[in-house]
Amino acid sequence: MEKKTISTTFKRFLRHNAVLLCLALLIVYFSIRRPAFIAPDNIMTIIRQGACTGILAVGLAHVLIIGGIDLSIGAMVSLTSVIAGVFMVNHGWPVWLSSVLCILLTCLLGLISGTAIHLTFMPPLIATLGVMNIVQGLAYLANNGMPIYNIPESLRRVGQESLFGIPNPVIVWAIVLLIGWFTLMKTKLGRRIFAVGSNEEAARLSGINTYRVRAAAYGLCGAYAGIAGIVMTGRLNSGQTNAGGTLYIDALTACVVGGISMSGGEGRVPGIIVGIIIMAALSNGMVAVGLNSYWQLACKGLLMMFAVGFDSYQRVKKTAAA
Amino acid sequence: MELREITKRYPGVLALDGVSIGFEAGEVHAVVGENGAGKSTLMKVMAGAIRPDAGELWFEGTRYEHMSPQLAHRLGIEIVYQEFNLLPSLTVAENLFVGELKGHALWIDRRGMEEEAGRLFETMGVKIDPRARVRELSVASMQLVEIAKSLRRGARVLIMDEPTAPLTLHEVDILFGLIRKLRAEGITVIYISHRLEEIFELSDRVTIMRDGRVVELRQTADTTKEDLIRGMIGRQISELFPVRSPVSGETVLEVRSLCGSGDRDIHFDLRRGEILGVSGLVGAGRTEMARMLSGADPMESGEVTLEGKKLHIRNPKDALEQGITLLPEDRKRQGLFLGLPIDQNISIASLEQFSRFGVMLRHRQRRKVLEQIKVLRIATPSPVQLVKNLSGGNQQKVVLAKWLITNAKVMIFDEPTRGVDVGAKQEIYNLMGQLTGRGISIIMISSDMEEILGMSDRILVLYEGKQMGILERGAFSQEAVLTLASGYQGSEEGA
Repeated sequence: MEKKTISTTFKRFLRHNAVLLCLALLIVYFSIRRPAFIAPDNIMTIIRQGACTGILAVGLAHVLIIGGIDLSIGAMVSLTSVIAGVFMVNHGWPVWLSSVLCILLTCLLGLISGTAIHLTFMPPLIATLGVMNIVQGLAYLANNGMPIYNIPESLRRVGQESLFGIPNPVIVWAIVLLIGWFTLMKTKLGRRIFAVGSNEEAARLSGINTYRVRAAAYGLCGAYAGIAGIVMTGRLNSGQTNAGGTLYIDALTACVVGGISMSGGEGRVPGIIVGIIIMAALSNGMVAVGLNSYWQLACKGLLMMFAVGFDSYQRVKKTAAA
Repeated sequence: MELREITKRYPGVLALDGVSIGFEAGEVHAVVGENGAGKSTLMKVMAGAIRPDAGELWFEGTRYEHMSPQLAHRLGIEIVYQEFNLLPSLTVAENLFVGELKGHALWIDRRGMEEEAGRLFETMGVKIDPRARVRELSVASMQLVEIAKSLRRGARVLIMDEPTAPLTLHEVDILFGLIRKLRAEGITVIYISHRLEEIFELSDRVTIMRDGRVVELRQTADTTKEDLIRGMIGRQISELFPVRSPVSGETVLEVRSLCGSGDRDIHFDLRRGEILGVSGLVGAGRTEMARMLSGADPMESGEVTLEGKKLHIRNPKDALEQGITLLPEDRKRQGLFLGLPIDQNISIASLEQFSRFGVMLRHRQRRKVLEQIKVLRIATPSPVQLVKNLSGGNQQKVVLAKWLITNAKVMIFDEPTRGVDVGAKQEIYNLMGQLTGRGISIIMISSDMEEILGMSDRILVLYEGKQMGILERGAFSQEAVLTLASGYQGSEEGA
């Protein structure tokens, strides 16, 4: 009996801290293989690499908590990058104006996804898969598939330089995290997002306009993707048609690893930080041990399946037990 | 069948504490107790769904450490759960034979299954088409199919968990007839119910459980209702329904020629502080009426006037803003956010009260939530406890609290005490009394005859979407309500 209790306590500890344990194991493994992995410089690099994905993940969290998903955020980063280039370089518009316009555009794209999902009851996965292709197509069309160079100096600095030793993208990410946390945890909108994700019918009967809440969640998700796209453009110092690439996989995995459930109504913003750092550490570590980029992609896909699979399994088991 | 010293421990709770009960062949044995007394756990132990920590089961002279679902099936111990295990898209006959379809390797003997199903229903004395798809059946018929499934597998012991909760009076009669028939054939029926009248009507013996223990085993004939209640809650319940002074206030809500969702031409007035009971069979259009008034479903036509003002209710938000709220019938699907904490569940319909410029004011909300927890006596260690960890009665109180803190003028309660134990029931009745005392008007839909006669000032009766009449307090009787509910036009006022 006594032994059983210890083993169940241990199991429970494992379950509650699985994420942190994974992080610890990863760090230990990569550090043994490549001691330079835990040098302060490299740690800062890891966080810097995670920043853009981190911004995406904050937006994605809104949509996951409402019980949806948005696959188009990676393509939105690409679109933003090209369009920002067109505005700033080809038209010579000011950086701030171009950025605001880009963010408004991706916000609008999010609103469209949310509206389509709400009106047609389309599965969000399919709806945003469609939007992903539309947006990626637009990204190619915007400048005939050509990258744009000579991005204004001020935006390059946002992407590449540091303030008090902290890379600027990380500062942007920190601000975004704060805003996301505040929206989700401290505002009426946040409460409603959780409510709709937890039980949409009960939310409607409680007097919530579920359309507005859903549209807001997708719209915010789009806006955050726009911010990530602007930062990414600065970091790459160019407008790239595939700047976003497969970032949505990283963002989704980070969210789920960080405890934001795929089935909605559950999640905390700080979990995203751990999730992102795990993803970034993994990317960086895989490079450090010399895995090529094809293997890296395959590994990330595998990790996503583990994270989402674990989340679903836990949920079904819990429901069965109740 | 006999249970000896069955014990089951969950983290933090002793669900069953040395329970011993003997069930005799051919008896109807009722098991009563409040929510959380251990009835459901006990049933699951018998059906093999959970394994006890200690104790033994005896079945026809053989000793078992524990059951498994397969073993229970083989021995003929069958259980009909509150949630049915039917496949809605298959036919009745296919459901009866599921897992062991008749036929050969390549094809299924559909005709043979249907014939056998038809014969089975005939011996049961019920009319169900074996070819109908299960999802097209009424809840009552689904339940009969569940029972038929158990009988076909050769049930010796049939366990029924709250079988009458979703049924109308007429359907209950059919079920009771069937149970008596089974008893005569020597089948042991173990019957769990919150409705005490049923226990007196049906059972031979009754076991009272409290806090995971058997308190008493009695012959039903030598028992009174007060004995049962005392045994279940360990104290005396003086009077179930609160005493309320008769209402004579002005009219608050006027409903005129309301149509939609199958309802036709419903019209009534509701006075301030009045409880209008709404009775009728399941499917008579009671819930539909409530959903239209509260904006959950659109109305086709009709006029609703609140305090002299004509309302345009297009969605629940409109209704809520005007002061009409609905406590829905299915609390898990329509009322609760199971994965969210109590405080967020309670505050979700009144976020305006607890926020400024869209930002939540935590302290204001916390104060209000704690107040509700205290007033309603919601048993929880903390307001941030997740609602899914609460018992049924406490969950219902959480939904109630959600609507109490809105500024409702008219509250519609759809089956407010379904699946709630006697103690919590009385608390809900008292609360309704207090609400009407504060000038809130209540429309209460209920299938519980005692409740509707005990709480209402007037009773509106529906039959197939039509309003059959409104009974005044003086004209209340079970017969009067039943007559109207079964479609006989009454001579009462308002029909």
